[in-house]
Amino acid sequence: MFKKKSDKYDFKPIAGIDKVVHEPARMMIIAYLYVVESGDFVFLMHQTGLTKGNLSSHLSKLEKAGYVEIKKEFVEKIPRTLISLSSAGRRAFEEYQENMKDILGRFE
Amino acid sequence: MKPDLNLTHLEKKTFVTSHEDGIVDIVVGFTLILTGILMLSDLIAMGGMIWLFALFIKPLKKKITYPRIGYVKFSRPQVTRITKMLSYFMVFGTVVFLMFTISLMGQSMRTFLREYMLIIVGVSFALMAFLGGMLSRIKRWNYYAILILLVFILELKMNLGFPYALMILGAAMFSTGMTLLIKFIRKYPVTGRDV
Repeated sequence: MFKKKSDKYDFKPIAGIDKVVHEPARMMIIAYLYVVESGDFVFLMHQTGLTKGNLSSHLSKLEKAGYVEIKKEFVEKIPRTLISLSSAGRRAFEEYQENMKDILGRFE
Repeated sequence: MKPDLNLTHLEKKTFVTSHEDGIVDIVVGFTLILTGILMLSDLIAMGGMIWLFALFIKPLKKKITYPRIGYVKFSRPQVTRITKMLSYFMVFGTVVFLMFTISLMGQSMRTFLREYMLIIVGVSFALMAFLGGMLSRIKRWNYYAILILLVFILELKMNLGFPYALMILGAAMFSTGMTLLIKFIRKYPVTGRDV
């Protein structure tokens, strides 16, 4: 994403932060999906406290970025939306954490 | 590179929430009570079938838990932990079974095991519950381990009878499970189906 610690007082790397991950609601979604293999829509709604519409819109953005995989299925005639973090999403979250640590380290 | 940021707490919270429903406690407690009743009524031959009640856990979770807090599939480390837990259960089960078999052999061994069998069974059950609590990180299983030890010591001191010891344990687990389930249903109302 950006060069690491080349200059302690160079704050340009802040501009390179992944904005898809940086948004608080999406970061929450990614963090929950990071610790599980997959979860359904109700699970994410319950854990994050987001409304249906809000969650749905953030999931669409994450899916568009290729960070989550969404599968729709029927379990005993009841629809279930299974969401999991893609390998790209997993990598993006790990990179984001590394980058944020680096940036915050520059403020010390 | 994998970050060293601690996400274990989040993983634990998610896992524990999904077991807050007390369904496992209810099923295990009910099974223990029924085993005790069958032992008293000399119908223990049916005892083997009782453990089929474990098959009710998944449908109950589907009906009660998932519509409330959603369905979640845990990642490999959690699954490995559960597999480990089951393996330990099987090892202890085999050890207890072997001891029963050995007790049918030599006279001195038979006398020894007969005298201390309840302690051996109690400690084995308590260890199983403790390992279950440790591996699943659900604290109440550690309390069950202590309770199991206490009940078996009480059984030995007061000569309650093995079926009654099982029924006391079962009643404790069943009532804990029911309390948890009522709390769970109140805390997490059905918010609607999937979208």
